[in-house]
This record gives sequence, structure tokens and C-alpha cells, in this order.
Amino acid sequence: MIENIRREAEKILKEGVVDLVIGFEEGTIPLKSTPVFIEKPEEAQKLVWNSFCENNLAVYINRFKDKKVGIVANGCCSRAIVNLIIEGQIKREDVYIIGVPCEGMLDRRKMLREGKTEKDVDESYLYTNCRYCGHRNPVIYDYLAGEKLEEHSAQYPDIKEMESLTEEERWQKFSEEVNRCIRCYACRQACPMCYCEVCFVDVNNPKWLEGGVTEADVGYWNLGRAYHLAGRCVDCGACERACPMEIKILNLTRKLNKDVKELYNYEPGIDINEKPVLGEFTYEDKEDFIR
Amino acid sequence: MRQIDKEKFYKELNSLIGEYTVYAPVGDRVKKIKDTKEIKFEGLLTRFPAKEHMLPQNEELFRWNRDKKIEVKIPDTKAIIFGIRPCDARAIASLDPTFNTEKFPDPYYINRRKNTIIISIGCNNPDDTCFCTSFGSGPFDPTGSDLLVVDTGEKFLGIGKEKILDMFGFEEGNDGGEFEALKKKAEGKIERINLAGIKDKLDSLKETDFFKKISYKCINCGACTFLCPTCYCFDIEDMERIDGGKRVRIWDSCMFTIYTQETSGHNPRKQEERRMRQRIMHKFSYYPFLYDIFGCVGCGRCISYCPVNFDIRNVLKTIGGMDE
Repeated sequence: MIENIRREAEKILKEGVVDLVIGFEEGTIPLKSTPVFIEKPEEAQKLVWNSFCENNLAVYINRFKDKKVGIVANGCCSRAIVNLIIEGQIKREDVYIIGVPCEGMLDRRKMLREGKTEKDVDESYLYTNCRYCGHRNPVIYDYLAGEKLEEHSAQYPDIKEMESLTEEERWQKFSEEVNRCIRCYACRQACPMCYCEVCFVDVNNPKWLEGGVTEADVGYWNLGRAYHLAGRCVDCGACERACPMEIKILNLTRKLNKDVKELYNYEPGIDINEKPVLGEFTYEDKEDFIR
Repeated sequence: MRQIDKEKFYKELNSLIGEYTVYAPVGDRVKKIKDTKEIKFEGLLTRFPAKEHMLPQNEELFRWNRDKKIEVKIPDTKAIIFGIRPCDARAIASLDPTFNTEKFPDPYYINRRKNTIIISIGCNNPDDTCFCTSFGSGPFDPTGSDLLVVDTGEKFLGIGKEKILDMFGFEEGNDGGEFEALKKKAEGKIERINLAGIKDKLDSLKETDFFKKISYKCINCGACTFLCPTCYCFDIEDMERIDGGKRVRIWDSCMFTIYTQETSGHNPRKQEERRMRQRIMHKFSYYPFLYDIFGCVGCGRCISYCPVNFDIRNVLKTIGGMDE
């Protein structure tokens, strides 16, 4: 598959279909691949695809507004691209998608803690959202670099477990997690759907949120961000992987995804012709206040 | 070299809790401890540097109430920070020229600094991301520490202020060359980056597209700056409540767009590459220019915790390899 990715990247750069290709190359620390921006066809050989390509590359597309961008996209990256198109942030024709069926990414920090290396690649280290992923194949692409994988519908056993806890237990869990937050906004910056030009926390007139790190501050930030992703989150896990404090952010976003699925039978970022779920209503919706 | 049984050292440290507020590594942070039994080393460096005890993420400068009464509280507690690494100790020392200036001495910082004893612990087994030796320092560098201890298994060897060594009861003795041996072994594991002429080279790159290229993959979060032991940028915010309010100094990051946002709406560092340039230049050009020291100690946290594996070593190596 990696040969196909490299060949296609080289081809579209050579033919001038794109100005640059966003993909992954080998990182400089163990168990980490790092985003790379290929502008010369001969550099396409740098590209890699492995179990440690854990960032969502769709976050970079809008950086290159004046360029035609090629992008190596797995399931969740392609879903982010679809969402960006639906929300009018990019145009379909501005991006050339090299689709990659994805078997999931591995939790590098867990592996490192257990003293594991590249040799220990094993599905027992899959990130939770990858383990229960419902879209391993890219939902949109111009070129597919490998055989499509069998799909299973998204599962939420982790969230069901959380739902079974009492209110106090859930609050305690939530507190434990968010209290580690240092407000570095790595979660926001890593998220392809967090593209607001001015984030609500950066507005200081009126001031929605103070710069503190008390439980109220960090709780508000984490909940506020999560809510802004309701019906938009593609469950790529980029936020949680980016968090330097290892806060389990997906507990919030996956809960929202589960709710959106149950309430509206909707999964974000699947079809560019769909409307955002919270941007329209149907008579089948459970809420009856609008009728 | 003066030395002490580790057991005795910890007993002494324990007996100082109360008279001193003692901070030590407890997992991924340097925390206030009530008993030395709480100390837990997790990996080489704590994820969060000890700078938070010199420059808290949120620091109240003063508060007021509705009767227009202003209350200023300058910290005056005596403290010991134990168990941080030499790089983190040097990092704290690197903050001195910024906060302890003749013109604008910062009483909050200065008082904390003055009242804090820093006891660092040498790194027998450095991490792959360490590059402290590039700064003429090293895993056993006592600069910035009031006391540096080196773990030999049973004992701590100590280098530092006589007064502190006496305070713990370090005895005279012969280490049989163990300090030098451990030091040599540890230093051998650390990659040394050539930083000669880095300031001038950087200055010459200021108006080129160098920073644009390297900033492509940076997502502009503040993980590197918040976890950096030498980054100190802050914002000041008034936190209003119904019965009064307080003015608080809070950490800020040059990687954030809002950092340089002006009231007029103009932002001189709106583009990602300008913010990247600021971070690199501040550490490797402006800081050496102003104070003759680098604004980096080579702890490697920004490398380990960067969400996209932006590696400052590569930037330094690229620049280092350029012709002057």
C-alpha cells in the first residue's frame, strides 16, 4: 500500500494536479509518524503509512488556501474532509484525496509505558475509537491506495460503561480528567473541525471564559469545546492523542456521537450532499418543540 | 565528595516538611508533599516542569473588594523543591534575568525564588530526547541547583552549597571516582548539537521563508510552551466577582493567535510562521542577546509531548549546518 501512496503522490505532483501532498513520514521519536508536506515529486519516497499515523491531516488543508492540496486520508480524515465541505470550509475540487483503508492506530503512550517497540505492533494497543471504528475505509477519495476493509458499524461499549455509572461517579471521573487540563488548546488545534477563526475562549469582550485553571474553568472549556462538536465530530481521536496531559477527551465526544446516532440516526462526515444534522430538522426528529 | 545514606537523606527531608513547604515529583507533576513516602519518580522528567512553583499558571497579584480595599499578598513561605532534574533547575535560574531586573523587580517571583531551596537529582540514565549537553551543561550540572545529588544506589553524593549539605548532614567521604564514572556514562548517551554561531545564523534567516517551511506542521497549540521549563510569557487578567475581584497573572503562549492581538484589530503575528519564528528566536537569539544564556535547557519536553512531533533538534541541526 505504501508503494501505491508514494507512486500516486509522485504522479499528481509531477503532473501538476496538486501543488503539495500532505502525508506522514517517519518521526524522530519512538512509535510516532509525523506530518510531512511534499512539494517535489522525488520527495514522495519519504511518505509512510503505519500504525502510528495518529494525527488527522485534514486539519492542515485550510492552511494552504492558495494551493491545490493532495492529502493521504484514511476513514476519519476523509470524514473530516466531507464535513469541511458540508460546512463550506473547502471545496471538493480543491483537494485531491489519496484514500487509505485503515486498520486503526495504536496507543503509543501506552506502548511506551509498557516498554514496547515497533516490533510489538498488536491490535490490543488499538486506540478505543479505532477499535470500535465504523468507517475504516475512506468515505470519499480520488484514488484508493489499497483493498477496502470489511466495515462494522461503530460501537460504543466504553460509553455504555460510562453511562451505567451513577451521576456522582461520572462527575468524579469527569473531574479527575479535566482537572489535569493546562489550557494549552492542543485538543482544539489538532481537531480538523475546530476551525473557528476566533474560538470562544479567545474572545475577551465579552469574556466568555477566564484564563483560570480551576475546575470550573477547565470543565467549562472541555464541555464547551465538546458541545461545539455535537453532530460534527468524526471520532478521529486527534484531540485526545494531542493532549499532553492525556485527558480522556473522547469520553465526551464519543458520548455526543452516540447520542447523535441514536437521536437522529446521523453520523457526521459521510456524504457531502447531506446537511449538518443540527442545521436542519425532519418531522421524524424526537424533539417536538418545533412542530 | 560529600555523601549521605539515601534513607537518612529522606528522613531529614521528611523532618523539614512543616518548616518548609516541600515539593517533589509525584508521578507526572512536582507536587506539594506531606510525607516523603508520596514521592514517585515516573520516568526521567516530570511531564509538567517545576516552574509552576516559581511562576504559577495562575498567580493572584492583588485583590479588591467593593469598599475599594486592595489587598496585596506577596508569597513568603519557605520551600524546598526536591527531585527535579538539573535541566529544570537551570531553567528556573534562567528566569531570573527576566523577573529579577533592576528596573522592574518582580516581588512575587523574587520572594519565591529567594525562599526556595532547589535540590536536583542527577540523571544517571538520560532520555533519548535529552540534549542538555548542547548548552555546555549536562546531566550532572549543579548550575541553578542549591544542591545536586547523585544516586549511587545506597547513597546520594552531593554537590552544592555548604549550608545545605550541612543541613542534611552530608558527610565527607571518598566516592571512589563514581561521580565521574556516572557522569561520563550519562553524558555519552546524550546527543550534542552544535550551537556555535546559532544566534547570527538565526538572525540572518529572519526574513527568509525558512520559518514558513518549518512551521507547516506546527498546529499552534501551547503544549510546547506550557510544558517548557523556560517559557514564562504571561497575560494579566482581572477576574471580577460580585463582591470584588482579583488581578491574576496567567500563563500565555506565543503560539496562540490572541497573544499578539492588538485592540485595534491588528495582529503582527497572525501568520503561523511568525509565531514559530518568535518561539525559536526568543530562545536562541533574543535570550542570548539580552542575557548571554539560551532560553532552552535541552530537557526535550517539547519534543516528547508535541502532538505532531515538531522536533526542535532538527531545526537547530538544520541551522547549525548552514554556512555562516
